[in-house]
Amino acid sequence: MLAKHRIAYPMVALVLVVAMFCGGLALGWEADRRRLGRFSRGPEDFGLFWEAWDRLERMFWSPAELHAERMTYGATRGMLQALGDPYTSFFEPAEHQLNADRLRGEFGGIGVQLGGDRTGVFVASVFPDSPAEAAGLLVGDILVAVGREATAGLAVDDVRLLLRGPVGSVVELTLERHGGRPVTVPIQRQEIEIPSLEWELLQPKVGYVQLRFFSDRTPKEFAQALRSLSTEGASALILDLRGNGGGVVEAAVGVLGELLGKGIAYREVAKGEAETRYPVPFRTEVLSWPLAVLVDAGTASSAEIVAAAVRDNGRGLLYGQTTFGKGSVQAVFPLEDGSSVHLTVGRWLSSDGHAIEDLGVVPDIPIGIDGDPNEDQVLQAALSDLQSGLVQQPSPVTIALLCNMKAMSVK
Amino acid sequence: MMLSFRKWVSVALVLFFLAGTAFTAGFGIGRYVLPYPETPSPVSDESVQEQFRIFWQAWDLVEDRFYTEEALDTQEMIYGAVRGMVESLGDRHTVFLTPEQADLFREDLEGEFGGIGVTVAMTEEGWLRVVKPIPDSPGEQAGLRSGDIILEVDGIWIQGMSLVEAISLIRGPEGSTVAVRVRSSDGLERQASIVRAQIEVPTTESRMLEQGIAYLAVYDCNAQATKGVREGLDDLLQNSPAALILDLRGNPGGYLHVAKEIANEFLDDGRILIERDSSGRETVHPASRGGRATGIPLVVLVDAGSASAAEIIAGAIQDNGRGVLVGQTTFGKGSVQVTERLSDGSALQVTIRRWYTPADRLIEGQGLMPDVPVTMSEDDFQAGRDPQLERAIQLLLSQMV
Repeated sequence: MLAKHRIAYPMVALVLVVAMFCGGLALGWEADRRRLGRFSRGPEDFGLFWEAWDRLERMFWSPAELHAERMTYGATRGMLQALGDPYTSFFEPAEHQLNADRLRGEFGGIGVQLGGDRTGVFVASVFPDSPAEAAGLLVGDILVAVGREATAGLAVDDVRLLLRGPVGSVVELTLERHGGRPVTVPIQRQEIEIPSLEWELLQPKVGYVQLRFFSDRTPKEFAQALRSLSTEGASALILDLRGNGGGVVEAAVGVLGELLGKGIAYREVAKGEAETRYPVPFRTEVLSWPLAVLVDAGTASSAEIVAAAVRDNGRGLLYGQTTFGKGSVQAVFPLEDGSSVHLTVGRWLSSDGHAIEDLGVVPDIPIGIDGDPNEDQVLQAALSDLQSGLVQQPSPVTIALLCNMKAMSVK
Repeated sequence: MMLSFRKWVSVALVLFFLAGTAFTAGFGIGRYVLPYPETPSPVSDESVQEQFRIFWQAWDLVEDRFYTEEALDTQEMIYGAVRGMVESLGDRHTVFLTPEQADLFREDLEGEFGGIGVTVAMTEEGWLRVVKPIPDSPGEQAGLRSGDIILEVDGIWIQGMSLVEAISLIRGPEGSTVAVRVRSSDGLERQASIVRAQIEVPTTESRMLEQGIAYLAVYDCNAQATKGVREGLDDLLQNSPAALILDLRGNPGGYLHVAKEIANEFLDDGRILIERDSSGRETVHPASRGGRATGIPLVVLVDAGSASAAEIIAGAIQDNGRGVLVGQTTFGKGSVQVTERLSDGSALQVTIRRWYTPADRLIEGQGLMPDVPVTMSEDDFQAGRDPQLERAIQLLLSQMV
């Protein structure tokens, strides 16, 4: 017994020492890896990238130092492009900001549209009742500087961003008009809204809403438009989603709240996850007007969600051409320096679970685009059907009937 | 009992000490002595790495969230990153080549490849323009003509690609078919299916024209061009020509040393070109004696397809007053690229220097102006006329009188 112990003690000590040494070695390596990790991480073969970077730094003919920021942006853009997904892309800080403003639907600005050509950046249009109009800006004025920043050599997007800032702040514009001496004008920024829709009463009882894209403001604007149309006596609605490329998904869901008031807006499948169903916001009071939705090949993404949900829930009829078929979901991920990545994170399916990707939404009443381009045949068809009262309760019978009527009228 | 307790404590202390020492030694060795076995980045500049953090943020997002039916191809992502980084430099001649493209590019310079047998150039808008179909090549038989614009290859849009990428699409195994969408100069678009074949590229062509004028065309400044030029000149000079026409039209360039060798055949002294690198360092390449055709009256034909090495030859002849340039303004590629193989067989084609003519004229983006401008219209081409060559002959004849 005792003899056994005598042998065991040094053994235990040796094992312990070896174990501790190995443990220390592993932790030491890990510490070293973490230190290096800040410099070289990613897959093992990423060394190729730094090899290329290094060669360029040493060899590339360039009158100035290489621009690490630009090269990083290029690398990120190229890496994302290599995924082969047209909706996954990289946005530099300026692009990201402009895009975010558009999706938010408002920003602090002066109310001008800018254009750019070889002569520089100029005022392309001045919004009515905007600070720019009050300051006397004219179409064609060339922007020489914004604040202290000269615009020479800047991209239009960058100048656009310089004009934006907190509401109430003042921006000083240096302008050149008709080749005269540059003048500096201070302008106070105001809330500038980017309306996502336009509406009008088309016929005594038919309201028309053209939704161009979906921003955060869209649900509010849509509800307002419906209220106004209602006051003006509308009792049927044409929702024009032609050319609407999408935008904020939540806005599409909000619009469906007004139209459906319950049910499923769309379903989503993300990487490694089960299907998620997104409900339509519940409403006790829902618009009950007969509804015609106009679609075409430019109707995409969030706009297809609305069109598909209207069809799946039998809420109204779709007129026009098969939609674009963009059934993928993108999320915007801001990166730490203000740039962002738009990444495809899932597929969405229609309210009833139909796939949309590549297939699109097929209209109930297909209407070709041939014929007189000056005459909006799709709108005319929807208008006359709404007046006939046949859209009130869409059913296979009424759809067949309407399609037959169209076929006959064509003959 | 007491004793055994003290013994216990001392054993424990010794063990603790040993273990602590072992751990510290291990950690120290792991951290500082043996480097972690990972490819460290050669770019150790911390500001670069700070900047580069957003790339890794994007990379992580792709790994965690990107929705795709196939597995992520990290190799492609890395190639994409390199390609994007290279493109951000804004120099159309600095490009990244994958291993396959790099092999293809090398074959190209060696002068033998399988393709459709047309020389192409990139237009300002990023399309491929057919510079010249090789006689009897599959491309010519399929009706491709000079000036045709290639829009699509096998259904893939060409615009936005580099020249090498576009060419790599057209190429393929001998006997296979490639479909190209072509817009001819009358604006009509059509689809052509062309069977790829092994193409023998004639690098030079020489013949005697009427009235004792020798004609030497150099289609490419590849590895065989110098030999072709020397042999061509030897043949032609046996006929004791009164004058020589050097045709560099449609010559897209090639090796710099080939350009120097060819220029040397026509120049006895003076400079051939000046090179400058990014730090402003200058290398003057002088002409050396021993050329075969240094005295004979000379006209050089150039057009918008004459580029790079061809422009070096033309510029050297023009600035040294050795001959007259007839035709159209040249392409304007006055930069020198080297092809750097990277560790996995891919390559970087990097602009390392700019070159200037002997009189220090910048060529990049400008081209060489001909001394005698003569255009060649599509009608001329269709009718088989060559007004540029005719004008060259006329000039030489009037000089000889």
